[in-house]
Amino acid sequence: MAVADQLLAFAAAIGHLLSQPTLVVVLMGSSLLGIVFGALPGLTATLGVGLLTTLTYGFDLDLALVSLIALYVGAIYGGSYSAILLNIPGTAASAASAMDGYPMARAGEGGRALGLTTTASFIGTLLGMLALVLTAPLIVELALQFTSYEFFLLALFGIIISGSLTSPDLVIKGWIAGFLGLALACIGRDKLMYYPRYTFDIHALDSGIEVVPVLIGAFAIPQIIGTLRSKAPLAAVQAVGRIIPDFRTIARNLRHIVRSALIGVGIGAVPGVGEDIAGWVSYGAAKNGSPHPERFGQGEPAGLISSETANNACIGGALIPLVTLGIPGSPPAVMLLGALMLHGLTPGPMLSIQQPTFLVELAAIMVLASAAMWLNGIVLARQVVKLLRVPATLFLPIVALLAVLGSYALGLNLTNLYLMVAVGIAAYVLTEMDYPIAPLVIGVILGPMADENLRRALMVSQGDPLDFFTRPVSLVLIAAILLTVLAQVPAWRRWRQSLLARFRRRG
Amino acid sequence: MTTSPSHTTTRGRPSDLWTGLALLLVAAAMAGGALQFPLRGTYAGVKNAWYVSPALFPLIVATCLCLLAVTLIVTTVRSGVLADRGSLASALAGQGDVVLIAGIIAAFVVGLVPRVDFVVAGFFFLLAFTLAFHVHEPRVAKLALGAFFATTLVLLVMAGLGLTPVVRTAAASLVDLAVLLVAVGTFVAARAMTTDATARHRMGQCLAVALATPLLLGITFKFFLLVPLPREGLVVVALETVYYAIRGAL
Repeated sequence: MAVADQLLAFAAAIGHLLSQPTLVVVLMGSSLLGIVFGALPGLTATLGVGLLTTLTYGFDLDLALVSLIALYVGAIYGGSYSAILLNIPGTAASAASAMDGYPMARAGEGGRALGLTTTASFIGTLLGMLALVLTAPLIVELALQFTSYEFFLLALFGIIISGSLTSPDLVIKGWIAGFLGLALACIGRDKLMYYPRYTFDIHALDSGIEVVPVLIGAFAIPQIIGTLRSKAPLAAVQAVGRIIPDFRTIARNLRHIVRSALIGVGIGAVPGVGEDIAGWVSYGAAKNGSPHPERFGQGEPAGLISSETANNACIGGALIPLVTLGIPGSPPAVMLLGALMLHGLTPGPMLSIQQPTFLVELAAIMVLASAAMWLNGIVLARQVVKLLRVPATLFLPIVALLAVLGSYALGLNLTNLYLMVAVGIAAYVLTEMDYPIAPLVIGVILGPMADENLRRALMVSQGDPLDFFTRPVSLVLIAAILLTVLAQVPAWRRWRQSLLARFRRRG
Repeated sequence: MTTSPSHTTTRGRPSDLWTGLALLLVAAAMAGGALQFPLRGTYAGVKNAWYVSPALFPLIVATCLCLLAVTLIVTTVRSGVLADRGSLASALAGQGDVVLIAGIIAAFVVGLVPRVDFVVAGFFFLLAFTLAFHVHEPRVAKLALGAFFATTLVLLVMAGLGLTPVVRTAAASLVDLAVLLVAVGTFVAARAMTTDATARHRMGQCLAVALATPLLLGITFKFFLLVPLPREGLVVVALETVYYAIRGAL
């Protein structure tokens, strides 16, 4: 009965959304904008969601969500255009797609490759949505039992795990980035005593650091500087031909699709780890499981389908911790969290109580966003490809202007602008030194949650930290944090290996 | 951008030593600041315990940052990457463009945005930025950036002397007009510098982008999203006049 009610609510949500012509126009337009953002090398899904957030400021929640999710889905898919036609992934999420997509395009199968990508991304998004709808209520039920102890540890775990998994260099750099984010989050009046911390008598800082300018600065400025600095000339765009959905090849690769969707959802659900890793892991799994691994990298459709299914399924996965725990699963989800907070929604377990229909509406929006993406992909792909010829030296200054205006528009104060530039330049320097940016922004977002819940927990226990060890979920989280940290300690690794070797000898 | 998985190293780099030391300073400053916050006693009529103190979380974060910085320094020293002396020099080389791009954005935000009509400021910013990076003519880039930075500097000096005019006054419009004329003059001078057809074609693209973008963004934010622009002067006032005339006529 409950399932039937949910299905009815889902159908009603789809009907409600489709009955509004403005919403349909915004859906198609945002999806197309997302594809353009994804396709143009130098622009990313994260940046697209961030910049659009500033434009949705005056929209109602439905309209804002439709535009942001449609752009997110479109951008993750759009990255495959330049990956296939230029051998330059438009977004990191599509890096694995270039491995087989580009050889296909060079062999005159550009249209077929784009058709496969479009359909695989569509299916991937739907499977990700399905995972979100099936798992979110279970996680929410568990999370409703959480108290301040668990929320503090959860925030800490989010920062530690994203730091561990996103660092391109030493893992410790990921943790440093996360703690720098927490340090930034300390600025402003604290929530319990309203005491001004690190505000230097600047009243604009009293309410703390605004999340969206930090996000825009952290993702836009490094992208602009990095791309303009590289000055790499673009390769010639390969011919596209007719865009063919090629359902027969899709049907033949059904097992790759299911496996990739599971990988995408699983990786997406890990805080801060995004679509790029999902694409690569899924590609690797398809190659390892194939009877013809030698065909991978030569234009094997299974490779392309696997990476594209996984990166779009990752969207649903990334929304699972966001909706249920308030912890974003991927960098674009970080932006989405900022957007939701801007519209007065605080994601987390309480969201299902405050907005009982939110999950169903989100699922309906994801279905419509993936349908819009598929339609745009099949019908307008050839027009979007023409945009690949627009040089970065023309559109990146426009992005810079948008970032400036967007950061100002949110709080209507210049301090946000200075903050955006300062954070952006610092983020570029950190990126250059191989510090990941995702843990930093996750730290900024989760900092207030960690701070407030730590002190609340200690207030409940009258200052006794041992209470953290008396709750089962809390204990599991402590163990997870400790194991994640210990896994990076050489002495621990040596001890674990010797222990395993001893067990094997006995076995 | 690459088409292979991101390159992973576990050795770190020589600059990690310096970032480790900088982080130690940041952590020390953070802890020092936190120790000024009420730790115990009464604040604003509320009896305070150590675990409710606003200093608790910053102190924990500062301690963790300190530990991580020390670990980073030790790891870097022990890994032997410090012997790779060429890396720091090569890392510093080729950062000219980085400073330039960061400088253009910072100058726009600090110098132009608070003092000049947003559409005019955006026009000059985009014109200078695109002429410098899109045309691929060093002389044009020098001229565009020289004019842009000089204008920003003059505006900052005026601000320092307390000469920034109040918004929506004749004096403010004069400043906007002066900046607009400098921008147009820069474009005319840049175009006269070269007879190369490709460079001139690209300059035309730069002008189109610089003209259309701030105008479209300004109109969208001001009249459709109802978000005031950072500074509304010469052009925005003119747009308002046109907008309300059209609305009145309808």
